[in-house]
Amino acid sequence: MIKLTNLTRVFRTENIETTALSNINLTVSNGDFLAIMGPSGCGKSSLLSILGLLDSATQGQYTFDEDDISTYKEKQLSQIRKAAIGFVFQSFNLIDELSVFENVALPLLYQSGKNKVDKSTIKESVETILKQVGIDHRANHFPQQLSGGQQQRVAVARALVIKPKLILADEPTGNLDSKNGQEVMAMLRKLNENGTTIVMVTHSENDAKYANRIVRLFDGQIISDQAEIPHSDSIVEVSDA
Amino acid sequence: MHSKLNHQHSSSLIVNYINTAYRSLTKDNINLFLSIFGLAIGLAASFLIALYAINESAYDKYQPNIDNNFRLVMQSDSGNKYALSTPRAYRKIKNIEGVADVAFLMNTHWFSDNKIQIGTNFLKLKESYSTTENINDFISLNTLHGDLSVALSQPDRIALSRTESMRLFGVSDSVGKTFVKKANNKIWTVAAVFADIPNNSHFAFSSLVAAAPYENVRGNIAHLYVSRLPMANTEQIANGVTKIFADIWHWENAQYHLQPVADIHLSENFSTDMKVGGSASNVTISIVLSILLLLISSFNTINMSIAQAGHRAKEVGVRKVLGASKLQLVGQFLLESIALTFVSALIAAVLVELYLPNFNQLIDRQLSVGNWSPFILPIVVTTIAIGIFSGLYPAIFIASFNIKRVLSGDFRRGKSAVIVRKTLMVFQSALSIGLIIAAINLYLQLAYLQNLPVNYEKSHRLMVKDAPVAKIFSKDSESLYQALTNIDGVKSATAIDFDLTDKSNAGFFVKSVAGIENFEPSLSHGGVGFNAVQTLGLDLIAGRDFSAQYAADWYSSTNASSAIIIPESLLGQAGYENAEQAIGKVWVYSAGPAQNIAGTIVGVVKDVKIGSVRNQSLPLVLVCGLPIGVYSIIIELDHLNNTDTQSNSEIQKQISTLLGKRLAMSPVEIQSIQTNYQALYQGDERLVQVVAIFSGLAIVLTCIGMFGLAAFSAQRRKREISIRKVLGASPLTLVNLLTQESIILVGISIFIAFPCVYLLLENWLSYFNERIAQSFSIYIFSAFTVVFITCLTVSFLAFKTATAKPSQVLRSE
Repeated sequence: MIKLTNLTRVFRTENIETTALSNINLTVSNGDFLAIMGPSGCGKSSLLSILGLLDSATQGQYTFDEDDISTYKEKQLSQIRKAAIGFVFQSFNLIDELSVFENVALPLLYQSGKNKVDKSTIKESVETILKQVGIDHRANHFPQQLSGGQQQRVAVARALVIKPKLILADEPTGNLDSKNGQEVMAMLRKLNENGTTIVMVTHSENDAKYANRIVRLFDGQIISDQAEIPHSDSIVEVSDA
Repeated sequence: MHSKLNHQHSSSLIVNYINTAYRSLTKDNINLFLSIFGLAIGLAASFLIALYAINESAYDKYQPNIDNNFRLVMQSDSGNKYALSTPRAYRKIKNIEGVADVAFLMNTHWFSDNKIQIGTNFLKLKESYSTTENINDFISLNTLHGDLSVALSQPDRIALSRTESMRLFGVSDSVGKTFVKKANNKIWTVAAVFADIPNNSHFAFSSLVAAAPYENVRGNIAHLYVSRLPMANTEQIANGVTKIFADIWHWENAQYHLQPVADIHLSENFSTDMKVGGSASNVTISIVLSILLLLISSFNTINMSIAQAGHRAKEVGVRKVLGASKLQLVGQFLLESIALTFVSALIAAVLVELYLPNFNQLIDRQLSVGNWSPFILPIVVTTIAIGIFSGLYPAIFIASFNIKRVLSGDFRRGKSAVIVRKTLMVFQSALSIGLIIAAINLYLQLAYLQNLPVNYEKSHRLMVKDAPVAKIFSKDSESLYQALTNIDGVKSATAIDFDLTDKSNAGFFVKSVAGIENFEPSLSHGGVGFNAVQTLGLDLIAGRDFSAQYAADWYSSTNASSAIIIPESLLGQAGYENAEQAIGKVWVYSAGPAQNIAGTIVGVVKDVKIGSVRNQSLPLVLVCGLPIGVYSIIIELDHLNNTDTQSNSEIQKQISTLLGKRLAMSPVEIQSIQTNYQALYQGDERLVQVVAIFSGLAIVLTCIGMFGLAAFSAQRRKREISIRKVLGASPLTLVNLLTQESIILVGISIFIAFPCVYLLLENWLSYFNERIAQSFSIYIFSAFTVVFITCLTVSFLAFKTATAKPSQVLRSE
């Protein structure tokens, strides 16, 4: 589904040049569950941004779903992004002024053109998704009234409501305790088993075990790209034996 | 657990925007309140001023045939203008090509004291004008009872305004009722009652009588109106009129102009106008002030919005990720801005209703918003426009937040917004400083004008109005004045035929001055009795006062002679090197009914300034014993007493009794010259008040804005402050750090404000013949005030921030 060829991302501010990514070659196939790992400053977030069409590369090629989108402008990227990609962030990024229902409905409101969704469909889709992630009983509540785990579940629901081709998760368990973290990872695992392609950035080896492929970055370059045997839900590394 | 999903969730973008806006705005109460409140003030003030300006500009617009109606105004080559003419030209003017109709209005107080008797009551007609029968073609008169044409075509008939009818007879329909004219014991009958003239007209009278008896009056005492044929040339008509008057008076250089009736109210005021007019410059100043206020409010709103932008950053980033286009985001925030403006507009409407009575008192008008419907559309359009104006930049600014930076939590507000905010702040600050300086200078200039030497004495002077001319202006009146002077507390008394604080009533026309070819300045006539210089408190430069010791002083029609006292300003024109040279010279003059009188100059005084400085008034020549106009007695009180205190009521009672007996006057109306003089400047005082209020409001709004900016800065630098604190900075250092920014901004605004205000004020002051010099200390004071208020506001906020616990801030989200 995704092919990055010789991708480079350089940040220029005034007179300083920082190379975040250098000659990245990466392929993501349908159904993959990718974990991108590496120490701080290795370029994980930059890579995720580019993958998520939030940012453009300085050099190189990006093919998404057979289309070469390397030179696409923000407007075009936005069209693709809103129809095909769902995001899950470390800090949830729910809109505090909107209720759970409204937060999950929001992506549907921004669909346009042939993808435009009518009112009854929106209601239906949102209700279904909320049930799916198990947060429907809190549909009228506001993010401030939910726990971290619940907020992340809402975020996942929001990412799913557009039935995306790809889910991008940036440190999804970073702000959660271990129990909630496990729940979220389990949820993602299940989604992947049902066919959703997932690319996840994480620095937790634990979380990485849920993926079926680990890409390690260091100083802007891929140093390893290995298929992993996915662990089942029950096998989790325990910190103290 | 099974819960019913709420069906009121936003299932459309617009609803989503509204929900978000409402919930987000109500979270931050203080800033929201300040923003709305500030804008409401600006809107309310602008609306009131708009009402005022519209009202002022629409005077007389409702009169019939308004586009073709004009008033005759004469201009002499010395630049002086005069709005009254003689009615004798009436028929001739009708014959000028292009003239459709002519009418005139003449105040009957020139001929009659208008004292009447109804039953056992002694009253006086107010503002009674004689007019031609066709006056209805010029003024929209609504006859309530009776027949107006009867009143205007038959002798001894009168038409009353409704208020006058109520005053005299206690009923609205007084047609058929009568009163007795005291002067000649004739019985007059009320033939018609008309509706009161509305406020928005320069016409002002309480009753109308026929013109026929006065058509041949010689003096220039009538308001003449001309109606032209639709396509006629106004210039041509004016020239025709000029020629007619030139034939009557044999003048060379009096040019007549046709002034559109609709323009009268806002054009220069004449003391002879039927009522006090408005001032175009006041209207302009008010409009400028309200626009400035609106600008300041809008800038505040812009600043507030940008400050709040940071709080919405995360939301914006998320919406962008979820697919919102820049246009949609701009739209969302513009909608918020417009909604906010509408709320402000509603509050403004309430404020207007609350303060309209006070405002009316302030500007001496009777504005009203009875029914809001004609205003709805313009208000809605303006509100949307202001909403867009104050919301556009913030909306664009917010919508262009970088997604990545926002979502990664590494969001900085961006440089550009800060520059915009600071620029706006500088402008607001400059505006406030400018307004304070302007307000103070305005006040000083007006105080200066009010205190200009008038060269007569206002204090300790009383005026008894409307005394019978034969008894006070005769050579034998001396015993009367003796009797007055004998009253304990009265120093001297004399007769006068004009009102010092208003206007003189006749022109003084010099036929010849020995040795001068063409002596043709336009002059005013002031008829007075003996001891005029003493009683009026004039400043005698040379010669002497009119005195009973010199019998020849008094005007004699048989000898065609009188004594005159001339003003200092005429010395040069008459060819005299100094005041002493003028004494004894003879000028041949005409004034009123007197023609070719030999006037011997017995004294020279400093020019008397009649009326207000704003009024055109011509140099006044005093003539002994020749009364033309309205007759009064001036009484000088002993200087030991204060004219206005209770101790004087005793003296006034004695005067009243004496005059009542000797002159058969009833009632005896005694006025204080000082009080009358002060009343002249009420209009100007009002303007100063309005400017002061607006300046005050502007400063309040600027403070609000200052507060917002300070809060924003403090917020932005919370982390920095906390880190500095941890590293050991004292609260004082931190406060300095934060206030520095604001002080620098105000400093810059001073550099901008000073030259701009200085030039503007110099321009305004140059229009006055007499003007103050701008004082630098005012500038310093104004700048200091704004700096002080800034320091106060900002320090308070800075202190709060500087004393917050660092740990709470340094903890990451």
